Amino acid sequence: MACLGCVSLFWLVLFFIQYAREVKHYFISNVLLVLCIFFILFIFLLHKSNIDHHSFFSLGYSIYEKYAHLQHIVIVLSSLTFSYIFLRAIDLIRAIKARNPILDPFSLLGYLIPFYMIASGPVNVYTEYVAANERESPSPNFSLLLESINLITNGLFLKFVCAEGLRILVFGLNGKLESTDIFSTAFIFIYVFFDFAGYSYVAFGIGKLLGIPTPLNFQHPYVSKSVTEFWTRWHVSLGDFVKRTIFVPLQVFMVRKWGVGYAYRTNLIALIASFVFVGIWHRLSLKFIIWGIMVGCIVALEKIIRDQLNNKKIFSFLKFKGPGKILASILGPCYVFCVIVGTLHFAIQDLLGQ
Amino acid sequence: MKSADEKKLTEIFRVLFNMPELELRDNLTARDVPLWDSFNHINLIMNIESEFDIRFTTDEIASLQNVGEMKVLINEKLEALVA
Repeated sequence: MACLGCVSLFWLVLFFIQYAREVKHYFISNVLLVLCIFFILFIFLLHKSNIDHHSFFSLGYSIYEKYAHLQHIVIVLSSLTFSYIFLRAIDLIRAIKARNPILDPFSLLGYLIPFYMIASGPVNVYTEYVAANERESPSPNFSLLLESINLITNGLFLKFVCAEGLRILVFGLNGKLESTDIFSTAFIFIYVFFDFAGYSYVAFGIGKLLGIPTPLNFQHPYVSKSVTEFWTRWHVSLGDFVKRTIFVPLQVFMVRKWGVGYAYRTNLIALIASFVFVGIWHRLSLKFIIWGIMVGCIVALEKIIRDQLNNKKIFSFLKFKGPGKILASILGPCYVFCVIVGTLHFAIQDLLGQ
Repeated sequence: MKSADEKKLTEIFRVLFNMPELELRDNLTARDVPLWDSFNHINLIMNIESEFDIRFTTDEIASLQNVGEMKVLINEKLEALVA
């Protein structure tokens, strides 16, 4: 009920924004829009900086400890994993700004807090949700049912057999995930894949069964031959979100400001900024900001090398042909695995709350 | 889309992506063109904007999925210019 109340309130604000725009009070609608974004961003940062009572500002105490009467907010924020609701709310605001229709509060609740996507996403797209809402829901048929059951059971297998099996094998029956050295980080990285991909398959299957658009979140990330490719295969829905909400707007803003001549450099900046956001999204901490800059720089470097490959012959030794291609498809994933584990190892303590 | 506009658009693609033989199918996406990544996408958009004298919004740039959608959008903008 509390969720429905919050969503109804949010709906009311969005409705006002749209109404103000219709009667051409653009100033009011823009101010409301900005306030809305800031409010959601504020709650998000509060949520991100205080999980497990870790304080980014190193005040020696967590904000929640000081203001104990805010304790009930902590429970709501941590139990509902606000991270995904935040992303959906931002996507919703962006879509409303682009003049998409606002759905009724109940449908909005279904978009913002879908029961099967509460814990770990994926980040569904508002415009796709609206389109599906307008379509008639698919009539139940046997092949759809079989396909969905296949996806859901695959997901459950990944989560409860692969992920949990690995956890028990490495960390013991009641062991906590702990990163003591680079090898345990590597195990955690594999564990998270099975856990998260398994969960995403279950969500994808349920979405398919209900006729609600649910993005496929993992597309064989371990076969990626470059870090760039890895981020198009791992947590795809977050990548797409960051691309349409942060990367492209920043890119367009900077190109319009400084001209196409600087496009390449400004693109690199937008790229690194996007990864910094991904870092902050995981945890608001200095380590994750540095993690974002590191990964952003690696992806930027890969882009520069790829362009050099296409234009000049400087890096021609990297151009794999024939048997070299097979070698590349073995060495590439190894390189990606090392880079991801290496960068993760740097920041993982913050993520696990160690 | 008028054939002259279509020719203009094809020429932009051919020059930018260095593919002199490229034909613009409606279902052509960035995946089909090796050089069409998110970096070059902005160059493509800026080229189209200056050639056709139109302007896209950020949301339009972010949501374009294939050449067909791009053609429809360009056409809408050109018609709005005439009107």
